[in-house]
Amino acid sequence: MGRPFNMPSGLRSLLAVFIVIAGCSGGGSVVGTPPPQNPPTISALSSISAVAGNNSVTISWNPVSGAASYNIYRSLSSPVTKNTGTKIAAGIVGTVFSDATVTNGTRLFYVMTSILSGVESAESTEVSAVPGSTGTISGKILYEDKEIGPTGFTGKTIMKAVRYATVDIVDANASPTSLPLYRTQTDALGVYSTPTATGSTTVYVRVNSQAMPGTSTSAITVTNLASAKYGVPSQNFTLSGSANVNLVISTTNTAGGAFHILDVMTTGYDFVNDLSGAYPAVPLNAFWAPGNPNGTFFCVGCAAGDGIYVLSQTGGDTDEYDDDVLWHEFGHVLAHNYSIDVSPGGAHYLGDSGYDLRLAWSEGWADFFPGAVKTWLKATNPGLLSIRPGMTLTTYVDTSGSNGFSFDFGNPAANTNFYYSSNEAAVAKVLTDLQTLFTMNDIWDVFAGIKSNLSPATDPVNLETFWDMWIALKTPDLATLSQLNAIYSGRAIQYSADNREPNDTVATAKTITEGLSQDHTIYPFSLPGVDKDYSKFSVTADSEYTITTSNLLNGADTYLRILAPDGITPIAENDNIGNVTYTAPFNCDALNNDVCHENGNDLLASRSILTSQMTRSFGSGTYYVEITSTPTSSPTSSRPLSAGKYGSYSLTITSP
Amino acid sequence: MSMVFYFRSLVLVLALAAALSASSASGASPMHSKPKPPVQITIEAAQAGPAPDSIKPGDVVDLIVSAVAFVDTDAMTITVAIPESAVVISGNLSWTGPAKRGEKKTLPITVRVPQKGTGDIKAEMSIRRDGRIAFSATARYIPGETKKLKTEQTRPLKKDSKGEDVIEYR
Repeated sequence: MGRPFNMPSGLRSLLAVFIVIAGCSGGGSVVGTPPPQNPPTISALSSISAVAGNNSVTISWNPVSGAASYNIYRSLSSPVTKNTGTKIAAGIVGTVFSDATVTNGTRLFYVMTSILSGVESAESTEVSAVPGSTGTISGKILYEDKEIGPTGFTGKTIMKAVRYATVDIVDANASPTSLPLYRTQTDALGVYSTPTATGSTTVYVRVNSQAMPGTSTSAITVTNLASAKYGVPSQNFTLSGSANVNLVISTTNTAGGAFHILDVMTTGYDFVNDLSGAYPAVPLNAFWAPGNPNGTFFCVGCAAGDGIYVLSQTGGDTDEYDDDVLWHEFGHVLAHNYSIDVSPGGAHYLGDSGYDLRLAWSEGWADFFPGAVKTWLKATNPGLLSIRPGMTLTTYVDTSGSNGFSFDFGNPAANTNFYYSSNEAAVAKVLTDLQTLFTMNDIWDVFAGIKSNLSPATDPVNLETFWDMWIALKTPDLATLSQLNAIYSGRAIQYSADNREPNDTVATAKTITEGLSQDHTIYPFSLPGVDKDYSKFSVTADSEYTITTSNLLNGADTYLRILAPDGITPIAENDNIGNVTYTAPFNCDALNNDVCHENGNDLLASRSILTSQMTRSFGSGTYYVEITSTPTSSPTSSRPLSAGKYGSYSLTITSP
Repeated sequence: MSMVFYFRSLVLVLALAAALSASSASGASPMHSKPKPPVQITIEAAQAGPAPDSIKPGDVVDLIVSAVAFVDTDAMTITVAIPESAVVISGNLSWTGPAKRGEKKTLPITVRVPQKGTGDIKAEMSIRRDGRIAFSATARYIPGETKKLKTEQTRPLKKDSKGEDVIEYR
């Protein structure tokens, strides 16, 4: 308030009138005759900032309505209050204050209060700053990767950039729970840079096992099994002027595996961006710790968290440097996020041709994926490959000390260990050949199209789904369809009508001779449609006949009906031999780690007996057999989710 | 099997195992695991107790070699190779024949381990298809191998700029 002074009487009267008018407009009080009132209240500041400078910190704020002045409190520690802080400024007006009583490099914490008529508000939100002359800390961060050959690690190593990883500048003397002073991120070359204030603070640079590739806003994070990230720090140094700090994470560093996992996943993100035009919108977590014996797998809903779990058995199998194993699991992540994956999961062994079609599709896709990534890398950024020069890109290598194993999914042997849609290697081979003849973008379109067109899935998703979606989305002409069929039939997968078609009616039934086996496919003669295979055979009255389907392949599940010579009257029918019903939960194979119901063992074959009593009743003549795929659900039968709607079978009619 | 565990990791692993066990009961999605070769072989002491690191040169040990193929095969071969200075007291060092998927074949072997040195005993299995080895696997048993229990020093958790935990490995 101003000091009293002697005022001329005329001016005093004029001022009195003005004050009365102003007071009325402001709320009705009259100067000289104030009514009794409660002490005023004043709001705390809501907007305050602190900007470090060289030997100073500038505090600025937005004014509080009605405030006459402000106080500023400061402390070396947080939280600062009116009671714990030092009041460094009192009764100040305006919206800015410069604190020049600071030491460069020392973090200071500030709060402010508002003052009205001697009443002080509560504290504002707290701000902090580290004063100092400005500088830049920059550098490059690399990690050491292991080169892989067909039989495991070659012994050579490759230096690669730690890409898009978060980098912290940490006060070396601060409590472990303190936040870093600054944060930045490496680029695609592993280069980072951050402006800093300088002073006498001892700091270090730390790169963390978390990355946000390219323009992604979804982080990839590698943690141990207790959700702590891995960090690799530099040596300590004083934060004075600019500094260049490079880091190299060697394979002997315990955290090295985490940064390799991070890099493999980062490449996966880049690949997705190239395929879909956008980085994944879903964060990805990988859980890895030296000594983890629990296998490598992708899991959603596991209590430790959703993500990829990476095996690292001390003295045994470790996967943190196995690119193909990690990309296999990344393939599962993509199937979960971009397509539909309804596989029952569990252990799976190469060479088994009788798996649940959902499992074979899921694992076949994941088996194919590492080769697809490497093919893309070779074309776009070969420096990111970790394989021995000249090595086949489709060769999958799972190192394990000196006993690792490898398998070329682009060239599996041509035998029944690697045939059929119920075999994961066959599925991978089909996808590899499609990538060669068409493009990875074509495959991605169909893979992602499954989700966009069929979600939520009502039918099992398997290789048949992929085939159907390819036909629907790509509408191949006859020549292209022939090329597609050649690729699939190269693995003994027939998604085409057999040469007895059309035989979808009694009128078009084809003759089958007693004692001779006939091979059929369950696939419509023309799409869209449902296949029915009619066969006819001669019957002698009073004789008995057995009609059987067998050699069921590619997930076939047959349903058999026998019709009388009128072609209408059903005489006998059967879904599964022995009238076994396979409904969820399916019979599981305890020898195969409980992979549930399998194909390939003729469990879903059909058999009906035309008894001598029946043939006596209906007489000699031509009888008919109708074979269809077992419906997914009906009062008398159901096709297991493990089976398919297509497939192949043999039909046999015998008579004792 | 080597059992050198990092203590800290072991604790974390046990926690994970408990968590995963709990998750299976709470309806977690299936685990999508990596592909495995359809052959699996192990070699271990027949009696409970004599771990490899407790065996001294000159001791007689009973070993069991177990091999499983996870595909049907009519040409499975198991061979066991022992150091020159070891003596086979009983048992066959090889077997060839058919095996059904999941069927376990075992070879019991009694061996006097080397008087000097600690040569390892190696077991190998393979399955053939069309005259060629389709898949193979090996296992080793190292008598007298010294196992050291290595414990990792507990490291303080730090914070990153999001306030999340970081463990530093310099």
